[in-house]
Amino acid sequence: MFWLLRRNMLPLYLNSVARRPFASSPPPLPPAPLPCPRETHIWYVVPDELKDASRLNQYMELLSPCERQSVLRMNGERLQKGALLARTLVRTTLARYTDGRLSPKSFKFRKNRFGKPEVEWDNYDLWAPPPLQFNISHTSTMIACGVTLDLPIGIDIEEKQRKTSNDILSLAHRYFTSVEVAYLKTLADPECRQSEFIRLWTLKEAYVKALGRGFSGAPFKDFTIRLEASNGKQVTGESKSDGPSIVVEAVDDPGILMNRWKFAFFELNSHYTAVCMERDVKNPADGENNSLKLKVWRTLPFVEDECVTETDAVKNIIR
Amino acid sequence: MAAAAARSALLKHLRLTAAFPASPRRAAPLFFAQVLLRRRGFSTDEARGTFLDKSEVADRVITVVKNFQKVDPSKVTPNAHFQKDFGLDSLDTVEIVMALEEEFGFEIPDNEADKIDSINVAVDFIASHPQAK
Repeated sequence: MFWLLRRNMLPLYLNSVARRPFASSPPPLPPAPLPCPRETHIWYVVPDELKDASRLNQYMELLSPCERQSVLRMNGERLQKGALLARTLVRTTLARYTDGRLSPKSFKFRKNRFGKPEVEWDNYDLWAPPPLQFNISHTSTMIACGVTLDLPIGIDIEEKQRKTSNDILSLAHRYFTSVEVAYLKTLADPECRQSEFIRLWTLKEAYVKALGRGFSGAPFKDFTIRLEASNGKQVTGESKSDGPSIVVEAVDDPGILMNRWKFAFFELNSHYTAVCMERDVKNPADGENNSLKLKVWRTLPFVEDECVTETDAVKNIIR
Repeated sequence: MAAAAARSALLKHLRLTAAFPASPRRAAPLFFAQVLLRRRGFSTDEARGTFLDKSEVADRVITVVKNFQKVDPSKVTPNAHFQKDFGLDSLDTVEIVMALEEEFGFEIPDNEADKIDSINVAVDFIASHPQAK
């Protein structure tokens, strides 16, 4: 692909005089209304839908020099494209919520003290930028970016068909809590056990990413994620009663649910997707505040955006 | 002089065990060695857990990684990075860590496992860990 030649021309990016001028700047992205306090917005891109080399070049121009170097350090075209699209997705998604005031290129990022990426906002004279929080996750076939207004968020996606090298129960014994292992053992069907393992894995990842303290900051063995039926009893085996909800509790404090966090788990474009978001405590709990609201868009940045929230692309939502 | 004789007996023992295949994972120390090392204040646990040779560790780590089904064997080099070279994610890394634990016979704590993101780091960690077999 044409854009890979840039690898040998890397210094050009750092020397703006030698830089090839853009024929035209990318078209502005349609502005999007900000997420409500209880909402997570998810934008996702399917790498296979993007084959146009000049489009990928256009995306490359949006990245910081540091990000470009990181992209080019990936081994091979497929991994480079994935890394490029991930940064493009984050920048273009955030830009949508600034009402046209910020371009994707102008965003700066930093990491919190545990390594979680966050936006570094400049000071603007007459405008207060929205306090957006975001998180991304990717597989080789999809990249997703979740955005909230001022609330910590974590997102994790896995291909539905994902297989593990190790036996499910070995993995679970090693990394999950005894409650979660016991739950997996109630599932006799190996495929069901496989998919429930992946479901638990993505939910636990999403929680750790929302917390923002890294894998070792919130060890998987220290917290249990499970489904709680609406009558308060734990859901086991295949029996899922109406409206079970996903809850998290500390292993040291079983029975005390960590209500600060709410979850959603659903199928998105043949991927299991888990979202964890902090509850908005500024607005006191009412009936509606109990569940996480979702809005989902499929995007090819600067090409097309499609809202898929009420479509078949988003299925089997559990909150 | 007795100490020198004891030392060379100990060294002879160590050379012999090196020739054995890896499967008898714990080489039973000679009574002699136990007595000697106790006198020096070492525990016999530490005596059993000697550090592995780094190039042997590297070979074994590379084999484990090459056998991982999501890894393209042609991309495996001693400097390979799990994410940048193989596109592995956190679940893959956790699976590789489990495979390394099986290969080297010791459990890697989660806060250390979190840092293992490349073959180099895995090799350094295992080669510096006395429990590795």
